[in-house]
Amino acid sequence: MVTQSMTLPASLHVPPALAEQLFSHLFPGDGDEHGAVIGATVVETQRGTRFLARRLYLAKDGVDYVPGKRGYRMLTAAFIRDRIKDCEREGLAYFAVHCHGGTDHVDFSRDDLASHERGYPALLDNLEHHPVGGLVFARNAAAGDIWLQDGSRVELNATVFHGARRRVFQPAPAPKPAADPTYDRQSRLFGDRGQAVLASQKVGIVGVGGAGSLVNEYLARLGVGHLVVVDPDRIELSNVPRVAGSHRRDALPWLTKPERPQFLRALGRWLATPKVRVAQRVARQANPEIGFDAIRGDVTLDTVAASLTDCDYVFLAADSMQARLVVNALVHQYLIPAVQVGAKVQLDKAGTVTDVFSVVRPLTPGLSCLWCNELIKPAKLQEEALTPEQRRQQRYVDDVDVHAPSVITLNAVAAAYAVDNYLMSTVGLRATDYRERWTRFHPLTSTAFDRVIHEIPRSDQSCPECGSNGRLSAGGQRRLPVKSTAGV
Amino acid sequence: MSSTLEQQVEAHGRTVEIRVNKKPVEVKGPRVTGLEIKQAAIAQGVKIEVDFILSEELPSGETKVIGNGDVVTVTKHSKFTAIADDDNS
Repeated sequence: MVTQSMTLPASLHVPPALAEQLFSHLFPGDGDEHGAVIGATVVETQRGTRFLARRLYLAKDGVDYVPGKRGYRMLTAAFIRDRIKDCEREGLAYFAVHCHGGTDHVDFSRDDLASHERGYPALLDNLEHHPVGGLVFARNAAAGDIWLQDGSRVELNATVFHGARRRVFQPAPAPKPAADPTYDRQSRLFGDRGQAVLASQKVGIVGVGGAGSLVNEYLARLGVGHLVVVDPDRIELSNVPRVAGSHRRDALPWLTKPERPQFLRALGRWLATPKVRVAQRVARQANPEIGFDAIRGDVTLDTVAASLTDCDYVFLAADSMQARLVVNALVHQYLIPAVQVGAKVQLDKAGTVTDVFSVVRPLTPGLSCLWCNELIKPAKLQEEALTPEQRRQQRYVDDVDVHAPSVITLNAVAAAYAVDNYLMSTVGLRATDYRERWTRFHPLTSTAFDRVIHEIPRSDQSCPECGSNGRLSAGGQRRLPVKSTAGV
Repeated sequence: MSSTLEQQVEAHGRTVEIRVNKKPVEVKGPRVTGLEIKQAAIAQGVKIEVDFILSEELPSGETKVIGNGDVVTVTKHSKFTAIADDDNS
């Protein structure tokens, strides 16, 4: 596909492992300049163009990155030629990278810009379908000069380094935003800049039942600017004890109570308030200005999943394996961090409670993955795909074979902890050496030590989902594991 | 000295008693897969299923997910937890 023009702003997104390699290479402590090339997938969204760093080619000092003819240093023609070929073969945009001194401010030198003007038109001709550009990094700043096939040039607005501690680099620190008195108490923790970051965020919530409805309320009250909420279901009376903001009247109990004829109960269920509308009502009560996309649909459908591809973060609070598969793919393919939340009351065959826990599993692009950790079971995917009752599995009450106790407090533990994790990462409060863990809360465990378990997820470099030769940073080059809306 | 003897005995593929969800479980050690641990636990009455997610308890107090095909070296001090792989929201 030819990239003729771009939606602005433009941002570069870098997965954690690649970011670590890049930084070690650019800033080894010698204070000198170093070079590299990034190959990035181009993803056009309504919120701008995202470049997803998929390949990193480190230029060897003295071999690939040598004293310049017109400036201080340069990438050799042979290195550039080979990288352009690599990018062409993989359908990637090409970015030449180098570093400057300094910390919070960075810009191209006159020599840098002159080299772009000399060299980039030829690179565009060679790459044919994708942009080329230059990136310059300081320790906490990045700038980019992107050349498009139509001859126009755009600046890179931001470089986002994903990981347990999300970092956003710009050419210079953003000006201090105006304070919003509504958020005075919480912005005392993370500042007006942190509050502005939240206002600029677009966050997806997949499933607004017991856990997701709480996540929805927390995010709306925190001042997150835009929510995309996905759920196919309508409120039932048995949801009301757990779904934040739901009323008994949302379930139309006068139509759905057991003594009513079957057709009336069916009509009542059909007319009951969709869960996404309850979520919208709650969000708007908290923040009338909030952007809210209420999508009454299944995340496993292509059009629904596509609505999440420009999110900054996704909360997965749905039960099905297929939802896990789709969201996990979104995380790695589009570099969108996410978290899976849930609670479990485990029963044995006799109906005795054997375990109770709440769980929070942060999913970081290329780092933590539900597939690697065997939390997506092919057999169950198949079962769900073959069974028209998939949605019933999330309703608990209709299916006599499914006994899934659910309690608001168990959901609240997971939801609050997950949103807190998102908050601390997004507003930049985490320590530099923060280590991400999955967390389980076991309220019934006798010893205090075992009530909160911190778990190190497995990681498999050859994983087809999160591995560098799998979905990682593939963007639109790979099809998400979704069903076609046309076939529904 | 005794631990050295134990290790020598275990190295010959002797039975090792580990803990799964705090219950004693005997496995053929010392090297055993995640799946074998779960299967042994189920066979010996621990209330889990093969689909459950197995984690090894580490000295740091954290746990580490063990995949079905992952091989771990177990001793009599090894402790594992196995929890359901699905949860509801």
